[in-house]
Amino acid sequence: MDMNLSAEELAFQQEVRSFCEATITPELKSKSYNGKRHTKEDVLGWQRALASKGWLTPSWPVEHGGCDWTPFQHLIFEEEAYGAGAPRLVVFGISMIGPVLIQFASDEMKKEHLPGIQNSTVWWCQGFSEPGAGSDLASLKTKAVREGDHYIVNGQKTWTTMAQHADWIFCLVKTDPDCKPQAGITMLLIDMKSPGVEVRPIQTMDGGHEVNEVFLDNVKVPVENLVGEENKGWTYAKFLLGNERKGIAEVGLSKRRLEHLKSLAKIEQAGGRPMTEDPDFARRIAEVEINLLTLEMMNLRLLNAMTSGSPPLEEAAMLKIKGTEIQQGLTELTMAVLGPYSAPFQPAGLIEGWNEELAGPEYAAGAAPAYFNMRKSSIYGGSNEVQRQIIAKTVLSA
Amino acid sequence: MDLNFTEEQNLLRESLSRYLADNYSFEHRKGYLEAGSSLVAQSLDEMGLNALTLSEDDGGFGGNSVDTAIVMEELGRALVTEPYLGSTVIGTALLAGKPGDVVGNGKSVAAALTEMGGRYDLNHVATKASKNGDGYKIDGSKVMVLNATDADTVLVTARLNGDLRDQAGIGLFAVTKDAEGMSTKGYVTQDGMQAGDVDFDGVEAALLVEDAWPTIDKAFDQVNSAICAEAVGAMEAVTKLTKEYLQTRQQFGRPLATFQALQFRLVDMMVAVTEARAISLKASMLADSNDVVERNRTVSAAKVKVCEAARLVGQDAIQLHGGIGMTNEYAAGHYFKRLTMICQSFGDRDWHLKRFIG
Repeated sequence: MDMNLSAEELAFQQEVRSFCEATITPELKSKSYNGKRHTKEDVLGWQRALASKGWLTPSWPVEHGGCDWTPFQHLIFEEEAYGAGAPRLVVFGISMIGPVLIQFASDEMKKEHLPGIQNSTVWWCQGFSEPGAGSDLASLKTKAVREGDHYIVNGQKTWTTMAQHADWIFCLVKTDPDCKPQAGITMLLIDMKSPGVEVRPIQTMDGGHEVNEVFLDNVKVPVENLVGEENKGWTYAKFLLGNERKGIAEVGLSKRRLEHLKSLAKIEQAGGRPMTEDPDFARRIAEVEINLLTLEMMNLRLLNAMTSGSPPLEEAAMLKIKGTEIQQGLTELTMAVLGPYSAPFQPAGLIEGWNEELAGPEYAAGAAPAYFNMRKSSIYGGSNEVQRQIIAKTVLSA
Repeated sequence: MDLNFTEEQNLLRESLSRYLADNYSFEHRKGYLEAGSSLVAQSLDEMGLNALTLSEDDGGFGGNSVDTAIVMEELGRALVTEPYLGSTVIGTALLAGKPGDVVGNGKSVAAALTEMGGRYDLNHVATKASKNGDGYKIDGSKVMVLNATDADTVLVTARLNGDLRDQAGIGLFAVTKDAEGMSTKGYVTQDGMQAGDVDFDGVEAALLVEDAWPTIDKAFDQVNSAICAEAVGAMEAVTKLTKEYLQTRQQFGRPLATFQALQFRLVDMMVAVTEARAISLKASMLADSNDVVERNRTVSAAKVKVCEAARLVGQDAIQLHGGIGMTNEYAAGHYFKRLTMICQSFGDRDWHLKRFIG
């Protein structure tokens, strides 16, 4: 047992660090740390730089362009990238539909869709949740009826992240209404330019626009866009959500937030002294830091278990719960450290190109919106209640 | 001891509650915020609320902080963004006993008390007051001044003598709206209020209170009592909204309200609101006291409990709603934002816990 990075791992860390330093501009880094909004171009620029280096889809099988990294290399990469101020990747192609296609799709479908993900030329979004199907995903109602060589799709998806930028959507639809809900679900790939697809923005309470409603009105989808087999969609979705949970601990991102929080606590004052010298506040930072150190080790243990088989499902659920609580705790403290200066609402200040003077320091404008926004993390990806249910089921049935 | 409201107080609550039900639904509120104006402030004034705590000699109703709490609770329930707290409550508290024609009856006030780097400490006053003929002139900057852009009069603290954080040597001054050298940068706050940063560059000002710390400290307690009551109203409303949502929303073939894990979360919200209501009532009864130690302790105790309750209730209201709670179109998120900002106004939990310890 050894907590130190090996010589190879250190060399890899240095390679990632140099790449990030050469790729991420100081402006982009400052934007990331100060919680300003990344543009579509920020994200695509970063993803395409990674694609040129061959690092955009490292977890894919090598024959499909993966990197054959150890789990620890994935972690090193993630931490270095976030620490350097990288934007978050759009995971819908890279970590969600990509691996599903590799595992389950026909060769033609792989050939058609994998290169667009690898080169970051096609933006994907996820059509799972519906107004009546959130935590209870299997109760979805969007219907696909086969007519000749097409499906006719009708229904509504919601909470569709970044659908406003998306070229394609992978959707769960109902193809057999007469059986057990999970058994009648099919996965279809739908071109967002198809007639009958309409995207309507949902504004969230932080003033941002990440999620959307997607309406599907008699959308004609060629049968070639069926993933795998009809009525097997639930199996693919479970495979996909299992992958989603792998990255959900977000240790690297939380480390970046912790570093930022500490730097602000040195600047901001209480009682004429820096907040770092306020014992109450110092304790609150320490508590979240200890939680993060623990999460990091839980994550490492899980990654270690993955090198020799599949880790227990309940531990992935635990990572999701603790990881999101830490993200929420960090954004909450980052708002609290600012005191009265978290109050001005200056959404324009979060957008690039805003040059007018802001009220308060530059790092203040994004703090409260980030806290409000991060409440989503215990709701999405299977709410933390659903995660607890998974753990309870797993351990109580053992 | 008598913990019953008087008949007048019950009437006050009922009439305001009726007015807000008719004129301040969540849809109304959205419209007012989009338009950037409403006639609500005027209506509240016509109902006599701006003169509620002025003495009868000053044309008021001789009310106290319990009356203010009744009003604030109803305003909190409806998420009213008009500056009743930032103008009337803070103004009458600071001008205690001698309102002149500055506050009440249609007059709008702002209180410029907070400075950059001072966090929640109102004794942190770098703004300077110097003799200027018969009057004074003010130099300095204040931040997060509620109602800054619309006030007819800005009440401002400035240092007559002493060091940066001394309680002694702080004066309270009045500056009129159009005074030369005063510039205001206005903004909307996270929760939809109007506020701003105000710079004073040799601004002519009238001295209201020379040794103002006792006045400021008491006003701070009265404002905190009022904001605690506002939080109680907001918490009760968003808890009710959450309860109704759990009873309606179906997942896994049954209402969410039938899941025990969620029932207990809702119950914890209700316990928190009930605790907050109890200690806030005590704060409102002691907020006007001249027993400084007891008043400070009680108000801080209430604020600590309210901050804890507001955090739990706000966060769980969003969580129990799920995605819909995150949207701007739905009321829960707006309650959450207001409750969050209440926890960071006029002293946060840690600040009041420290003051309680002494």
